[in-house]
Amino acid sequence: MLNNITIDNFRAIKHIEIDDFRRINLFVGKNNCGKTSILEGLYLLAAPTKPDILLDMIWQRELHKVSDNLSFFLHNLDITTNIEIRGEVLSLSELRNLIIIPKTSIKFFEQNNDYPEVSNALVGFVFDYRMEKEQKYYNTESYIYKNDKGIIVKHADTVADPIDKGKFYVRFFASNSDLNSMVGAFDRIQVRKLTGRLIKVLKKIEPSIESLVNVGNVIYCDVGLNKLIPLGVMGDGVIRIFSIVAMIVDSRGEKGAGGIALIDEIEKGLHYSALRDLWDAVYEIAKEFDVQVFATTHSMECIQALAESYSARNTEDDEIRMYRIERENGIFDVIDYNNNLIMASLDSNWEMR
Amino acid sequence: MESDKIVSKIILAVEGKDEKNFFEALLKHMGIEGCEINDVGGKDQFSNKLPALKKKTTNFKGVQFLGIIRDAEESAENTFRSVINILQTLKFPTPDKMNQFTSPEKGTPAVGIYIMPGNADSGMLEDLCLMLAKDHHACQCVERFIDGCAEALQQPPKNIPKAKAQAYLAIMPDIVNSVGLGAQRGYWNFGSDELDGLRGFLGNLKKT
Repeated sequence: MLNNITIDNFRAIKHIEIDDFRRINLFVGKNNCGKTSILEGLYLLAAPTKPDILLDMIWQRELHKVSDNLSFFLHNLDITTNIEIRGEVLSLSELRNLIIIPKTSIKFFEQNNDYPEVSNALVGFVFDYRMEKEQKYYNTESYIYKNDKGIIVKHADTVADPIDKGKFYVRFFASNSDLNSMVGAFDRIQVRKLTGRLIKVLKKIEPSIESLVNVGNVIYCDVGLNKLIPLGVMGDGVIRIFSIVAMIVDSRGEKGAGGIALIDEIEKGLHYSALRDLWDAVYEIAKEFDVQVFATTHSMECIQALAESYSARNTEDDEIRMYRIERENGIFDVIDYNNNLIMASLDSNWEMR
Repeated sequence: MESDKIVSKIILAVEGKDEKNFFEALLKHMGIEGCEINDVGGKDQFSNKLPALKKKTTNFKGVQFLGIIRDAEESAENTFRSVINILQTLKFPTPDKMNQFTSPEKGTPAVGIYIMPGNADSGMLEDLCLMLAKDHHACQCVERFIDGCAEALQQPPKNIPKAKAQAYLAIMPDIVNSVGLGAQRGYWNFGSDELDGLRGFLGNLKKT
């Protein structure tokens, strides 16, 4: 699991430090306080040798048609300042440090390229990843840049073994994700023979679901009628919870660093009465498959459902954190809550978002 | 759900909704404005609710005074010590004595702990209210009544001061069922000398 993160000069974030991550981590705060950027920072820390994930982020923010879309990752669009993302993975004794260096010349990436350059325009990034583990140091570099043909991503030819072994399986569920985007994940779940587990969770919300299957890239379910029906015909609650749970199951890693699921606006489209089912399912699956979950929400009912779901387990473990992100005049504050503090605040009717 | 994102510079943490009612009335009587009064629960909840209040106020950012009002219950000293312990775990300045605030050198917010009723080793808000009402003719009748009942009954009231306070409220022109609501009706004598200690403590709560 990721234990903490420090982000410098990334999007609107000049500097932010967040400590003490647990199994389930929920970010709250006003619009534009940086919640989605924090998820993106976590994505980069979890997969620091994969510059391609910047392309995922560009798609999720619907910026793929914008020509200089790489520059929007830079704080204040400043091409002279590096993005830095650091954090620890204590279970692997790792201290990770990713420096994303903006480059303005194509010749840095392609010495023979005579592609006409616009001076002081961002061409690409170097992902300079350094890892300290048990007093030894490892590093690797990878690139992402634009040339006249499009966007190119280059990974290092060889990667040190500890870096390779420390790879998380990471999945990002953006707020605009839909059922179509889950087909790939569902296929992987089928291949890993985990469909039964997924159905077991979904039956708690919709008891009539007996099976799930992909037919021609559409996910169908058997609810006891004389033919299968597309899952999309079921209610929003089932579709959303299916998508989130499937995404978490798909994040399950093999032995090593584990899985990470990043979910933006987790409550979107869900009636408040479905939120308790959602969190019951998320916790159960995340625990079983050793996936660490980071999510964002605007909804007080979502926070309440998480706290009540966890409290009902009557466990002495302390596996939930909520972080309120406050942004004032460019300075970011992080106020962290454990489950007891969330319940105390709910009891007193105090605003936590 | 409260949506007050602008945090007051003066925060009072009290034990319950009724205490909140009482102090709203007293502060208004004293002309002290701009104080945010929060219910942080009785002794079982306080250790979770004070930290939660700290989170709500972004670690008391911009807060100049934090006043904590607790009932002495069995022992004023023990209650005071237990609040000090909780403040220390939250890394707050701690006053050396009860019923006074920390000095500015110790940092902000200045923290004060008042143990009710204020000038006794044990007791609670109701004890203070009865002291404020002691010169009222009705109060003397109530004292005799409840003391008489306590002697006569096989199972007397567990909390005699509470019973007396309720009985006193019951003979007021408009009956209310709690001392805080009684304060808002002006049923307790806020001019009494018995309030000198609490008035002195609250008198610190003026924005600079």
